[in-house]
Order: sequence, then structure tokens, then C-alpha cells
Amino acid sequence: MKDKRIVLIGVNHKTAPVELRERLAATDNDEILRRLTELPSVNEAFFLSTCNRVEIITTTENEPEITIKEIKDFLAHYNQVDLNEFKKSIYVYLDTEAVKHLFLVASSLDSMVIGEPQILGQIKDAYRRSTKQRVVGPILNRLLHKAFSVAKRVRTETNLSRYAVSVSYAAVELAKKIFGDLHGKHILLIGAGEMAELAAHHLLGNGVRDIVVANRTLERAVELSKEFNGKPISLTEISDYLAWTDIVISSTGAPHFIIYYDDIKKVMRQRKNRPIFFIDIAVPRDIDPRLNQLDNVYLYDIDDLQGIVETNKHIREKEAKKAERIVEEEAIKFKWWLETLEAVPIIVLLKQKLEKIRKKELEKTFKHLKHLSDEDKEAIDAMTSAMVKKILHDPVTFLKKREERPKIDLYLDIARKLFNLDEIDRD
Amino acid sequence: MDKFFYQLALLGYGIAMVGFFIYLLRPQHSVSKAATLVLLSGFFFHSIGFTISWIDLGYFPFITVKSSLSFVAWFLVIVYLMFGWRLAILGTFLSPLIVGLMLLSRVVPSIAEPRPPIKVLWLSLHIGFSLIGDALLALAFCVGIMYLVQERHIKTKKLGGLYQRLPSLTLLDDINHKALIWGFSMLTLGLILGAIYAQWVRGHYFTWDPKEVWSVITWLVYAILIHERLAVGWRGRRAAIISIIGFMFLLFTFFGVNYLLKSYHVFK
Repeated sequence: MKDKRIVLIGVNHKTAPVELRERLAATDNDEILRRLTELPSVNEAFFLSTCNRVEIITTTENEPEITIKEIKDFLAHYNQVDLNEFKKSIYVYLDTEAVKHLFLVASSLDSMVIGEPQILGQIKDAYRRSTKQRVVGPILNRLLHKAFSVAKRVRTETNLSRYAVSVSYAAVELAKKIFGDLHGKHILLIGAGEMAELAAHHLLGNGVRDIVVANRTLERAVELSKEFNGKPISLTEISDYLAWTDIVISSTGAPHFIIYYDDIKKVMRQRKNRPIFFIDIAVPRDIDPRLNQLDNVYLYDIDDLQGIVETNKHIREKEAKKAERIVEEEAIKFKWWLETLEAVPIIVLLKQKLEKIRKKELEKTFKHLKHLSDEDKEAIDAMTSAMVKKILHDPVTFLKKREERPKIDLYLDIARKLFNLDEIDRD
Repeated sequence: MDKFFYQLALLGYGIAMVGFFIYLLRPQHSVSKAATLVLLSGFFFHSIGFTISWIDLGYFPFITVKSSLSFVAWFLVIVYLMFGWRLAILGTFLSPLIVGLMLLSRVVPSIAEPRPPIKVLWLSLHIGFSLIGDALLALAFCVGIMYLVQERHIKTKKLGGLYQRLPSLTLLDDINHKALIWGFSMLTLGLILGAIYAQWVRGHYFTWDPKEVWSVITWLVYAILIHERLAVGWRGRRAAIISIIGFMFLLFTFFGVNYLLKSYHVFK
């Protein structure tokens, strides 16, 4: 059998500007997959296209250089891009390096914001398309499944994706640590602004029930409240709603405070001390910072949130080192598996396994049968040896005979599984 | 024979406690699950021990300090099992208390359990309800501490340490609230049953015995807290602090009176 090679070609946000990525990103993934497998060197194909990256993984029995050229030419032709234009932006990885790269991508270590989990879902979708088109075989099947399990390992064994790295998510996480479940909670959004609206959106996405939108002009309030399906009020009405709301997001352009310590002190009595969470995104600040001294009142301003985000980013960087170690480890394991994808190593593993069993059982038996002479022992040894050989004869000839046939991968895979050979090569 | 099972229970609780501390460092479900299982095995042995003592004595063994400590520890395991399935971190805070009580119960010099007193059923109910109340108030104490730690993290905006491990303030406050209400009710029932029993056996409902006086003081502390919670809406930090103070009173009533003051309630 010829050597199977894994070839990965791609561009990402680090190597290519968005204009180029746009032109390479596919509109019709299925067609690309089909066209890829029509290339003479390509056996199996996987195609991933997101806003930050385009990755093509294929297996080939041909020389990798030829395969790479075929794919590059295809990309240039298909997307009508001059090859020279994206030559520099493209990266190519072979075999173990390709495996490692995919594992890094799947674990979100290669993402723009490392640890953000969306990429795994995108890879899963892309893989589903490939299986639907029947363009993945045993190698890419195993590779992709392994990539999912590596990503899972990274997620459970490190804190890579655990801490929020955007101001709006940091606010949501805090709200959860204060209120637990956000279902049925009420928000008051004062003013407008991208970050404030984003935070409101995330809170609504986490089950918050009602939102009231206050603005300097009622017109703007009405406009915003439509976006959130909320209720518009004017700035002067805020105090009426403070006793009712649980989370206040404030982001006005006011040059002075709009919520004062004494007001909230009074309100807390009215609220029977039900907790309230103020998120002050405005600069200059909208909310008197002394509020945080009141019991059951929690106040975070933009600097506090930014501080949390910075710390979390730092944690993610540290965790990324741990995650990379996991990826390396899994890539090596995958390499072992790849190396034994041919008939000869599988046969060797099979023989080793049976020989090991034979030796162990002989030893056990001889221990009990002390009266046996050396001659007897030799005879028994020869007999068991012959048995093992005879048992192995048929499967070994079967595998050797089919070595050149296309379905050999499948048989090898089954042989490994039947005899649990994966366990041995880890010893 | 029962002693042997109590030792096994102590061993189980001890190992579980170590497990819950490991859980702090490695917050994985498998760790807390293992710790919970070990705790359960301790509980199992503990229950066997109780059953044997019960059969030997002919009444439930919680009249001496030794056995009542052991009973509170046993009941705290039940309390953990009630909340711990969704709040494993509670184990980290409760298990030291469980181990501490069990250990104390092992080292307190043993006296023969008194001969079956008169109207043992009433006495048992008096003691049983009081001790269950004590255990629930111990829970309120534990989640009170957890609340203060978590509140401190959020107020000072330092989100390291236990911040990620501890649950939300609302959940902790809820458990504190429930534990207080139930613990207080049980304690009240225990006190009333005790008074009725005293009237039968000694002819007086109340005799100004130090234990009785301190019990009433403790009861008042909790009564005030519950009143403030329900009527004024005290919650969060203040409620947590008072439930910790209340528990100090409770501990004094439990131990202090036995060892520092003279009381007919002493069964050392």
C-alpha cells in the first residue's frame, strides 16, 4: 500500500487580510467538497470556512507537493484569485503538523479571541457536510472525531474558556453570581451605547424577563425599546422603577451623576433589601460610587469590568500553555495511530499481543504443574506456539492479500478494534 | 460493637473531608462525586452503629453529650445530601464540622448511657427535635460563612480565590433562610416538648436551670433574626452575620453550659 499523507492548506486572520479571506470563503461548501475530491490526488476532503479562517484538509497517496499544487491551483481558479496574490498568506501543514494544527484550531487556541467556543461548532458543521457528501474516509473520520475529543479535553482540563473576556459577558457572569438564575429578573437600561446594548442583549439571552429603556429623549427610548421588546420611559421616571428593577445598566452622556447614594438608600428599604446590581458603563460615571457600600447593592463601573476582563485574558493565556501541552500529546498519539494504519504494523501488533498472552498463560500453568520435566515443558511450549501461528494464519493472509485494495483501511481499522490493539501501542 | 462502626464512620467522614478539600483545588465532578460516596459510606456505618446502640439500650442513643454530638454529625450528613447534589462546595464547608463533631464525640469520656428514664419517648422527642434544630442552624452558620466570603469577593471586585467555586449570593441566602426557618421551628418544638416533659417529671415547666436559660437566650437571638428577615426584609450580609452569632450562642448552650456551669442537664 502507498503511504497516506495528510495535507492541510489554509489561511486565517493572522496570515490574510479580511478582503482575501472573503474571496476564499465559500458560498457553496458542498460544491467545493465535490470539486476537491475530483482532483486527481485527493482521497478524502474536509472544508472549513468561517469569517476568520479557511481550512482544507485532504488525504492523498500522491506526493504532497503535487497535491498542494493541485489544491492551490483549484482555489485560485475556483475563486478567480491570482495565485500570486494569496501565495504568501497560505500556510501548508503535513501529517503530524496538520493534525496538530487542526487540534489547535478545534480547541480554540488559534482563534482571534482564544478560548471562544464557537469554532468547535463550526468544525462540527463542516464535518457533517463532509460526511453527507461522503468525502471523508477512515483517516479524516478518526482525525475529526479526535479533534472533537481533544477540544473537550481542553475544555474540561483547563480554564481556557471559563472566564469572560468581554465587558458585556463579564457583566452577565457577575449578574449570575449575584442572582443565580436570571429568569424573571428585570433590567433598566438608561441611555444607549454599543456596550450597554450588548450587555442588555446578553442578559435577555440568559432569561431576563422585562426590560425598561430610559432615554433623554423619549423618541430614542421608543426606538431602543423596540429593539429589545421593552418599555420606553423618560429619564425623569427612573426613580419610579428603581424599586422594581434588579439590574441597572447605565450609559448616558450626562456630565454628572444621575443616580445618587441617598436615593438608593431609601429605595433599598422599599425593596426590602432585595439585591440590586448596577452596571455603570458611562464615562464620566452616571452612578455615585458610594452605592457599593450599601448592603445588597452591587456596583461595577467600566474600569472594574475592564479590570476583570484583563485578568481573565491573562488567565486564558496561562491556560493556553496547558492546552497546548494537551494538543501536543494528542497529536503524538494520533501519529502512532497513523503509523500503524498499514497492514505490516498491524500484523506485528497482533502477533505481539498473542505472543504476550501465550507467554503469560504458559508461565501460570507451569507454576502449578511443578512435576513437568523440561522436555514436557518444551513440548507444551511448541504446541501453544503452533496454535498461535495457526490461529493467526488466516487473518494475516487476509490482510496481506488485500493490502493494495482500496478498502484495506476499513479492515485494518476493524482488526485494531477487534483485538483492541490501540491499548498495546500506548505501553 | 457499635464503637467499631462509629470509628469506621469517623474514618469515612475524614477521608470525605480530604476529598472535599481536593475538590477546592481540582473542581471536577468526579472528585466531588467520590467524596460524596465516601461520605455516604461513613453515613452507612454510622447508621449501623446507631442501630446497634439502639437495640442494646432500648431507646435511641442521644441522651449523653457523646451520643448527641454523634447524632448531630449524622444528621448533618443528611443535610448535606439534601443540598449537596447540586452544591458540592457545601461539602467543603460542612465536612469539617461533621468530622469535628464526630471526633469530639469519640474523645469525650464515655459514661454509661443512663438507665432508661421515665417517659423515654417524650424525652427522645425533646432531644431529637432540639438536635435536628441544632444541625439545621449549623447549616445556616455554614452557608452564612460562604455568603460572607462570596459577598466579599463581589464587593471588593477581587474575583479570585473561591469566587468561581462558590454559588450565587441568592442561592446561599435562600439556603440560609430555609435552614433558619426549619432549624428554628425544630428548636422551638424541642423546647416546648422539654418544658412539658419537665412539668411531668419534675413538676415545673421552667426551673431557671442554666441550660434552660441559655437555650431561651439562643432561641431569642434566632427569633429576632427570623422576625427581622420576615418583617423588615433583612437579608444577605446582616442575616449571615446574625446566623453566625446565633450559632455561637448555640455552641455555648451546647458545650459551655455542660462544662462551665452547673446544670441538671449535664450528662457528661
